[in-house]
Amino acid sequence: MHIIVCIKQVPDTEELPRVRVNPEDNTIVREGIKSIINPFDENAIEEAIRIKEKNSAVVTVISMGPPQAKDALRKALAMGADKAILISDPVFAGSDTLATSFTLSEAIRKIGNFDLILLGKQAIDGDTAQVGPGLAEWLGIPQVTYVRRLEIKDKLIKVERVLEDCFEIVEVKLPAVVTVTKEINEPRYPSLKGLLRARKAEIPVWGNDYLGLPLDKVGLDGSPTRVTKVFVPEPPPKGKIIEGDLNQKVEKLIEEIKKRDLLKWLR
Amino acid sequence: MTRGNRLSGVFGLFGVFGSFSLSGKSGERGEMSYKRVTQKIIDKLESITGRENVLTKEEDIEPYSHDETPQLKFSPEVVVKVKDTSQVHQLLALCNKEKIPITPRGGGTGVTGGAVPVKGGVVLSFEKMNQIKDIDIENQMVVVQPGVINGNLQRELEKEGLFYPVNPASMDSCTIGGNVAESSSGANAVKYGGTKEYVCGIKAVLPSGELIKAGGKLVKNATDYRLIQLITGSEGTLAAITEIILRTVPLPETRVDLIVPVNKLSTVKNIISKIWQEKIIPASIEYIDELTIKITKDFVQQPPSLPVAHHYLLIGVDGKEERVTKDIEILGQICMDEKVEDVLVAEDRPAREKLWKLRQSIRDALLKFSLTMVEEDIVVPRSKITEFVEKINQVCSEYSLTAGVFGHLGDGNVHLNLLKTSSCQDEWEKKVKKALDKLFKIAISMGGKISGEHGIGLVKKAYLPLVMSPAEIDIIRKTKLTFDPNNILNPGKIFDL
Ligand SMILES: Cc1cc2nc3c(=O)[nH]c(=O)nc-3n(C[C@@H](O)[C@H](O)[C@H](O)COP(=O)(O)OP(=O)(O)OC[C@H]3O[C@@H](n4cnc5c(N)ncnc54)[C@H](O)[C@@H]3O)c2cc1C
Ligand SMILES: Cc1cc2nc3c(=O)[nH]c(=O)nc-3n(C[C@H](O)[C@H](O)[C@H](O)COP(=O)(O)OP(=O)(O)OC[C@H]3O[C@@H](n4cnc5c(N)ncnc54)[C@H](O)[C@@H]3O)c2cc1C
Repeated sequence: MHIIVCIKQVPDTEELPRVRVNPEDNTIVREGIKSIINPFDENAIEEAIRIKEKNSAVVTVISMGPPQAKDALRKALAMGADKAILISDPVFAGSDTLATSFTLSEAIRKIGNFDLILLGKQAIDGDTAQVGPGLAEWLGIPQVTYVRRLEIKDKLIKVERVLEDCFEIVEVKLPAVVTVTKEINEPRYPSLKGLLRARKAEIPVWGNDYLGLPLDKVGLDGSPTRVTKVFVPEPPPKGKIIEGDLNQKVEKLIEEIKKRDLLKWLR
Repeated sequence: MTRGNRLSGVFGLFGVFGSFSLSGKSGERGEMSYKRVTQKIIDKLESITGRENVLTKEEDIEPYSHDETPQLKFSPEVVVKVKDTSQVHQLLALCNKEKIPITPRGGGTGVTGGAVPVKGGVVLSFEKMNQIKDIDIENQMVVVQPGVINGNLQRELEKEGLFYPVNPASMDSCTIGGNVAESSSGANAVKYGGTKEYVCGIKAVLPSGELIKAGGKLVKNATDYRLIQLITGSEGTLAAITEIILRTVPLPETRVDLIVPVNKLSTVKNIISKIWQEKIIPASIEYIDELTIKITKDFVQQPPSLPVAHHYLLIGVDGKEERVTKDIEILGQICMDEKVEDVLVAEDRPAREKLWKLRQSIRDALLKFSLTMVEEDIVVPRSKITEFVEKINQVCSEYSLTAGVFGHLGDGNVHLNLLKTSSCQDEWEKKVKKALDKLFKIAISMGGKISGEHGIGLVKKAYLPLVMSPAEIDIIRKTKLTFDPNNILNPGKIFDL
């Protein structure tokens, strides 16, 4: 069995206040920002390794991004993935979800025979949750999103999808695309042995020389999405803390409610 | 609720150590002469701090009647929240004149009853004095009010590229004032030391109401009796601290935490001694035993994934990227040489945070497992620490006691938490007493002391004569009386007068 995991390197949430947006094309300036593997993608890696440990599979991890995304791939190798490929080329920069999923799908075709493609349910920066479904469409294979449990049954998988107020049990024929939630597992810490091995591992970089994709289908030119405005929302006004002992607090609270006529909707 | 109303549970246990009571003196000096807080006093308090900062209703003062010590509760008569040094000065002068006991309080996270007002009276809460007054980048110093929460200070300093390495597990609720008063430490003490290594200046109000200023933005100072050192760790019994100047260090470029699952204590010992031999100074070397990990993993949401083992070491290294990379390789080699199956690595922030969240949740988890818990904070020379943990296990199994053991192995300081699993309270208490008696003796024979960082407060008071001679106790008693002749400031703590 061959499992491909797509991972994205995202800014560490702690770094978000320092993340800048390029005013020219409204894309994120990622240089100099500490990055992590998108948290849901760690779940995808973990799930792939667990399947590998149970069913003897080969796990290939791929990421499209700048050269520094190799760090994310190395961590995946340290966790137990077998192979990693970085898809990186200046012409891929500025890809929207359509171009990202297209480029990933072409890289996956190039990798060849696969049974299962795992992704995180969404990236914590772009947040669209569209790359998984997009990828399945480009490849013309079934997709199941928001998966919290996965069971391999020969050429089938049985999964549980998280929905708003229930979950859905679905059986899907392989090959298929699955996007996972954090409930599916608890990602392991990479082992030191694995990390030292991963440090030395060769990670091939596939650029467009190798993939040969039409320039109007990749990068900014291949992205019909136009981000017209990026702004920081105004922080909500600060709450007022009412001081005093309990009785004073209650009195002041009632006063405030009356003053602001907060219960008018009751009338 | 009447003054000094004690809801004694486990605290009763310590009654059995009454035979240690100091030099045969019984009762507290001046106890009989404490005055109660009358309406007139309350009016005066209100005129000092404003009405909204004076709490008297039972439901308002309840939170100030205990700290985090299990089952220990004494109600104050009034709680006063101060805003500045001048209010503290007026309050202490008033209490001193009127002979009313007054107990300083920071975050109330103490675990030996330090902030619990055993004699009733006033609780002096520093929660509103929570301003960081000055971050002096050039001098790498920070000036804070005592009520600043440790974790908030850490985060503010980080923005400026500075680091305050003292990180008690309670960092998101304990205050710097409390840290100084307890001389607290954190998990980074192996490399960076504890609170006492960072206090360069203190502004404090004496029980008489007089203001003293010791030290300053000075890394060196040899001009007085070590007033700063005297007040640091005095558990709120000598002076009320109203401003603190702390030294900081440059923020390390990077940090990595290693998880080392081990099955034999002898392996732990070998790893630690080889770390010193290799001249590596990790920021942290923490220890957690199997039961503690199990209980805590059941307690936290989404616990990190850890392999099963009898013992866990958590080794954190920080500094420049290349150095850290090298240290990790050496540490890895040490562990491999000791036949540790594999070492796990927490590199990025979320991975490390998950691990430390687990570490910081241990105490709450143990308390949820067993609300009746006796916790000890024994410290021994660090070369002896694994031997001591071995002894803990032996003694506990001898008395069939269940214990969660964890702590700052690299500092020779472990927390022994005796958990009540049997239903008979009396029998359990007896066994605990016997086991502790034995363990204290062992620790002392190793050159250890009964508290590494939690202080003596109320609940360890009876043990003090085990580790201090009459002459030593006498000199600290005289010191107390010099600062506080009327014994109004946090009376009943550390030792009886
Ligand atoms: C501020 C900002 C500005 C932007 N500006 C533009 C713009 O100008 N033009 C434009 O076209 N787009 C822009 N984007 C969107 C674009 O960069 C998306 O982030 C990207 O296409 C991936 O979509 P997503 O992050 O929503 O991923 P999701 O669809 O939420 O990710 C789901 C899963 O897909 C996989 N995945 C996602 N990305 C990758 C990847 N690169 N490699 C491997 N696997 C991956 C991961 O498993 C992930 O968990 C912008 C985004 C932001 C936040
Ligand atoms: C979950 C948990 C984890 C903990 N982990 C650690 C740890 O890793 N290391 C450690 O050392 N401790 C630890 N502790 C113990 C406790 O957090 C520390 O003792 C802490 O320093 C207490 O600070 P506080 O602000 O809560 O003080 P409080 O509990 O309010 O008071 C402690 C003492 O300080 C005095 N005091 C407070 N403020 C002043 C002031 N301004 N002037 C004079 N005296 C004052 C009080 O009178 C009292 O005697 C832990 C506690 C908990 C509950």
